[in-house]
Amino acid sequence: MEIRLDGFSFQYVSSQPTVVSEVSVAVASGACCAILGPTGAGKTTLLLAISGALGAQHSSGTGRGEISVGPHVFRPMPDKVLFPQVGLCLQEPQIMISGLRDTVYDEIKFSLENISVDPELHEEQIVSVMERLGIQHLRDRKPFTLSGGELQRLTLATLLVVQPPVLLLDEPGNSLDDDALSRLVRILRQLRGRTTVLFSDNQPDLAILAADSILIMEDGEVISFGDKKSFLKNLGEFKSSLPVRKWQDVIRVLSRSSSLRAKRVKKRFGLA
Amino acid sequence: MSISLKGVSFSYQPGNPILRDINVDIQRGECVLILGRNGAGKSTLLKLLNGILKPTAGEVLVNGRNTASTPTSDLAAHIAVTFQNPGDQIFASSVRKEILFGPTNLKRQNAELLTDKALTTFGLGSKASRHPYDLLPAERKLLTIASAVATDAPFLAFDEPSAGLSHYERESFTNAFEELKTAGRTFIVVTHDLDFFITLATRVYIISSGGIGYAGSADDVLSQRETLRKLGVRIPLSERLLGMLE
Ligand SMILES: Nc1ncnc2c1ncn2[C@@H]1O[C@H](COP(=O)(O)OP(=O)(O)OP(=O)(O)O)[C@@H](O)[C@H]1O
Ligand SMILES: [Mg+2]
Repeated sequence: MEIRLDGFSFQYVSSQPTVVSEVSVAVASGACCAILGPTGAGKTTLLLAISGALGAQHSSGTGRGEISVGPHVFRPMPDKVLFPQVGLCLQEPQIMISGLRDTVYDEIKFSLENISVDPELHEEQIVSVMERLGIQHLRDRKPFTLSGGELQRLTLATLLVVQPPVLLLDEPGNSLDDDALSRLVRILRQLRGRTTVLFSDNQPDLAILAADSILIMEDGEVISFGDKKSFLKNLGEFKSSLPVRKWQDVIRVLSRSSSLRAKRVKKRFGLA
Repeated sequence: MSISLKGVSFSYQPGNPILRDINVDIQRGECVLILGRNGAGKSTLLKLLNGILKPTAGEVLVNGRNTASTPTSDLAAHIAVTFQNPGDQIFASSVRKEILFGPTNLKRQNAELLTDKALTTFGLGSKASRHPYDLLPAERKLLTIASAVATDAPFLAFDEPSAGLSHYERESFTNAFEELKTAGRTFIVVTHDLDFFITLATRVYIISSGGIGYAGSADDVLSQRETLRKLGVRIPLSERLLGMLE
């Protein structure tokens, strides 16, 4: 499903500044777009708006423009949560847990029950998603006794198992260890072509590893929107909104080197 | 002034130890990083420091006080801990009240002053009267850190303080950290963000399989790439590529 925003703006309270102003972007069906920028840039608000959660909760806020999800056009945005077409993972994983199920397995199953999928298929899907996120060993644990990173993996599992055509993830890499991050990257790559993904982050690593396009926001406005190659070429322009210094070093080394390794890295990141 | 863990073991359920025979000494003025995989036991270790959890074997001494026999309210004067999820510890109805609670409860003479100072240090001054739940997640994180600092406890233990902070907050965080360090405060930081904290740290512990998988000075740890990788520590991609291309 394509996601499209046309001149979308939002203001929580009329006396305060707009948190998202005049955003126009399109993410093709099955593509992965990273939304980068510092705290307060409007990343979360944008994800909430697309998911329908913003329209459902903040009837007092004012929106303008329009948001399209696949063939559906909402002006200015959906006013109810679009689950299971759109899955949203919030930044604080605790609020994502239902509190109604006693084990990790049942919590994941709960997601499926909510959308009445054939129960015959549940077990296989749940086991597969647990394996992909490396949480099989936590199968019988109580969700609220999990560690921070374990909980983050569980919330991702509860969403992925539903296979929504659109997936919105707010800073999904927070509190994940090295293994979990690699798993997340692998999952995002596997979703390519099938699921439209938008995820936010405040630093560029995950975006460089897994995104097709990169949207940079600051103070509610779009600073830049383009493919990864142009992002890496113009890193210097994003110094004020993102920690890009080390990446600038990488690009510098790459441009000077003609070693086989450097060539491979360039190819890997589409810089060749 | 010190914290020492002597042969500390801990299990949530009998027969399933999370930490085994941990020995750690932390001296005043240090900044000690605790690293390790998801589920390694890092947050558990922090909860042992301020007495929320008691060791199943061994002992934890905070400025000489055994956490097993000292009320947590007494320990709070010596060590302040922030949790990974800010929602687990915020309960006041405004940012200022939240920060003021600690020093007031500990009967600090200058509670108001400590509160105002912490508000300024962490850039929360303009949000003082806001409800904590009107803050962005990153600001809520800073609020819990500010609250810990305002207790005036000499030992500060933070659980993933940088998660979700963008480079703006990181900058003010670094400045605050340096300032507090100069003032003699001691830090214990649980993090997946080695890259950010390494410049502030004096020592590093990596928890693995319930024990200390690695202990060393902060100056050495980045050169131990193989060890870091084996123990599941996150190294930023840019850093990894630079190492590879050198
Ligand atoms: N109340 C509990 N009952 C049973 N097991 C628990 C409980 N709390 C935590 N655990 C388990 O103890 C282990 C250590 O948890 P801890 O929260 O200390 O990990 P951590 O190192 O902080 O991990 P993370 O990086 O994911 O935050 C985890 O496997 C966790 O699931
Ligand atoms: Mg933890």
